[in-house]
Amino acid sequence: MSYTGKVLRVNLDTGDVTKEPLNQDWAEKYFGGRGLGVKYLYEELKGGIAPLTPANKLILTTGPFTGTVVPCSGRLTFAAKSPATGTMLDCSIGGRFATQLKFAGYDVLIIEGQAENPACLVINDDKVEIRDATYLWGKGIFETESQLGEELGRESGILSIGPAGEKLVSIACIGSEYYRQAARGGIGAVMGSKKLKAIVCSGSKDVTVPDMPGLLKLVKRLIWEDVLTDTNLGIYTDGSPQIVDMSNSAGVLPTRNFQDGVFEGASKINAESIRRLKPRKKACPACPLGCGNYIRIGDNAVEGPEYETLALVGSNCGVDDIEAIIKFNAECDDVGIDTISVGNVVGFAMEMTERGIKDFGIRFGDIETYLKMPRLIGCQEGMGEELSRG
Amino acid sequence: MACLKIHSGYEKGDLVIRGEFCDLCLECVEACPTGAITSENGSLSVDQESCSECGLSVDAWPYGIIHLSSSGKLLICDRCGGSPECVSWCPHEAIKKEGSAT
Repeated sequence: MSYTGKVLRVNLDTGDVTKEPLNQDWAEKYFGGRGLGVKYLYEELKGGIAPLTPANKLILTTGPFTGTVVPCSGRLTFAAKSPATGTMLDCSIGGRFATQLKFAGYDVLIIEGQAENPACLVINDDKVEIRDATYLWGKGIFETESQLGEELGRESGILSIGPAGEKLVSIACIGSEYYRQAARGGIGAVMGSKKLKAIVCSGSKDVTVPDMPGLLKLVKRLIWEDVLTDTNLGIYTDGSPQIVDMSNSAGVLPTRNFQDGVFEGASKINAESIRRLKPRKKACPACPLGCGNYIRIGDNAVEGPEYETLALVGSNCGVDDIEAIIKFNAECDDVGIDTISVGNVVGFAMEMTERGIKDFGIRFGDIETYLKMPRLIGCQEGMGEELSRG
Repeated sequence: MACLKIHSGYEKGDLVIRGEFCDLCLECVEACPTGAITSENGSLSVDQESCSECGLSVDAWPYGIIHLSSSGKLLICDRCGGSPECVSWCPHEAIKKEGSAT
């Protein structure tokens, strides 16, 4: 295990930064980043609090093997009370933040309270600072990352929110390394409610394990025998888009606001059509599978689109144009909203309009209006204001 | 040990992946004033006794694959004695060993 045995607690109300011992008993009983984060949340959060108030906490946890060569151990988990569901929320993200947090010497990061002005939390080993981020407020995730990367080093782990998180949109996400998101449950709005624009972490400490030669031997065996199996290799070759064909043939591919389970344009948004765009593979630390499909088309780049995006932003909106889906995906990533929730809401608006129940001015397959939706919803402009409530 | 260094990330949104490894350019051998680093049969070795910890070889190869450890030990890529571990670990055969003796 790679526990550092330390929890970093940052209170944005007071500016206090404390380092406390990890509850080792919880770490063992509630094994893994998700279990540990949820346990901390359950124990520390008072019942009945509103999710978008300073009383909510944003809890970031690493896993028991993060920072080592154990396959796929590099993810970071978030836990908080969700503004979308009003109950417990956990979601996770790839990228290098989790390993950087571990190398900085912490297993868990707990953020409490609310900053007075837009803030950026900067962690560099033992040095922890709350900096002013007024100059970044209002900017998209891409520009925020580029700027922070230039100021604090591109090798740092950077988490940030876009305008949607700032405006407390309940389907806002947190982005990292441009194209990865912790997206579900409105975690970006929780960060926004704390007036926290970004968290930047870089660590230079070693993660130690008791028996390195033994671990290397075990991991090498695991990689070749359990991880890189023929079944799993589909994650490397195609990733989640391979599910489009499976769902469609099973009749469960969300289509036109879930009115249908079979989409006539499925063959234009499946793994095959993504393969034609020649994605480059991008793995997270310690992951032999590397599911990231980096695709750039002109000004727009994404890691994906993943199955859920293809289904909700594609077939569920009656859109079979892969380039339009990628553009929509990139807009969501920059403005900081969850593609799944947005696709769902837009599909709903399309059906309401077509059925004459309420005119949102958008119909299935209307790509021109559709491409405006991420920004309208994320920035709560025009019809996006109502739709941003999910 | 870090004989291999992988840079993987986004520069202004564009994906950049770069691997730095020992290609036996022998710059370090030339830079070493005490002759502690020697090249033989396609692999490098260090005589730790002769190493004066001056760090000139570390600077000669600026990409961070030659290290001087905190205890003063010089760490270089010795190609794992002819069968590089990095080649056998890479899950997608992106690293290959060239010029293997047949």
